[in-house]
Amino acid sequence: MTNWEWPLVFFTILAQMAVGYLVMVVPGAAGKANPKWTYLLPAGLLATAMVISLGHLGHPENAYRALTHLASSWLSREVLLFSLCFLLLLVAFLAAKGGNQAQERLAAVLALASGLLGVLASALIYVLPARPAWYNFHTVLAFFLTAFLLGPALGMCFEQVLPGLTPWQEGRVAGRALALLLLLSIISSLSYLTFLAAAGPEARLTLTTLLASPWWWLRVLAGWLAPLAVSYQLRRQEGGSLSLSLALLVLLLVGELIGRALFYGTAVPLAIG
Amino acid sequence: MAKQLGFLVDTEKCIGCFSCEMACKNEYQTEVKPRWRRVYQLREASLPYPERNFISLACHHCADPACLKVCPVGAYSKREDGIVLHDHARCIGCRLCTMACPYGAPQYNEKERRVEKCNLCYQKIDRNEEPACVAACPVGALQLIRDLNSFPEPSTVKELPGFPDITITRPSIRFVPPRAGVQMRRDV
Repeated sequence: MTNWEWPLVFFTILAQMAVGYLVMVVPGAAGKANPKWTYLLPAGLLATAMVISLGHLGHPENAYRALTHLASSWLSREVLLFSLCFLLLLVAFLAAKGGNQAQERLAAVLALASGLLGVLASALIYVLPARPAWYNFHTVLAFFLTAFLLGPALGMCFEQVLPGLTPWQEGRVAGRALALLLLLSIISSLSYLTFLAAAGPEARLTLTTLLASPWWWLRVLAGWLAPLAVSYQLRRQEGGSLSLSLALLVLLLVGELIGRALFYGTAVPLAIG
Repeated sequence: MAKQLGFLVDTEKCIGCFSCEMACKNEYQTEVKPRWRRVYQLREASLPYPERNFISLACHHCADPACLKVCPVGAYSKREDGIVLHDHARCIGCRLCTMACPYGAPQYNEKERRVEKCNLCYQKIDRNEEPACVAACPVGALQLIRDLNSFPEPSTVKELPGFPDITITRPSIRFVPPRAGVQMRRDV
């Protein structure tokens, strides 16, 4: 285990959770939205994520320069797309406050689109041939799965407090959807492990490091098995449950944070010799 | 085709004396940790020869540099003669280039919180001199190739066992490969 890259771990997870939340709230937002929780919450999450990401830089005071190489750098594109998403959420909030539904709708949809593209750009930063453990479609899939797991889990919590925020997210439907996504996440991780086993020596070393790490097994327990059990319980609750929803969110968040730390910490680079 | 400078490493001549590394450090007075040029011992398991061989490697000033593509601030540039330069002042220390380079050429300087790498002594090249590492090699194992496009290559190879896939960035380096010799000693 070489480098856990905590600023990047928190940045990617929080940004993806914000985008996943947008997927839940934007479709039914215009006109009937609670602007504060619909737009300011994900905007705040994104802003927090971007501030945390500065901790990764050697010279954060010059971070603005990261926007200057859009022609070929996915990192530049990621910064642009997440910044756009943040600004569009503020526009949507102001439009909602002013009662301009058309403008609110347009800004919200554009924010969602730039957020989703931002997650894609985030993932493509790491699809590098020099890191065989990252150089595959699992990187993109894992980043989107994080968004689609944490976003609805967050939305489900707020639905308990503010009914109508995510109208289609009734207890049973949400529980079933999350259980399916969890299963997809488990299957994709198994597929990732088999990919590592079949790839070159660096990927096999990543696999060995992963399986030998107690953090991996904690990730399996906290990020997959326990949430699966909670989402099964949620399916049985007609109107949902705040405590179960909160437990699900915390478990998923812990699991994804550990998973992302392992993503950065166990990728063995190509080496000479 | 654009001109492309490069290095030639003769593994038959290299004795692993680290003169090239020292010359580089003397020239640029770099910190201890980032080693722009590094001497590697080829792993015996990688070669069927019972002798020790070394290669001296720095930035390969690749034809298709990954560092240049991924850098979000445009700190990298490629000169007309193929040298890949890194603008130290522009770097924000995101370290993405260190992840993207298959050869570990760009390295993070913890003290300055920026990345740095070999610049092929471009200022010497402009004066028609040899890079410091090439000039310092006592056995002529490290040479400068003035243009890879017109370099006669019959006795050289583009890669050695244990060298990362050259199709990723097309490194501007050639090797004289080791030949089987008499066994003098084995490593433990």
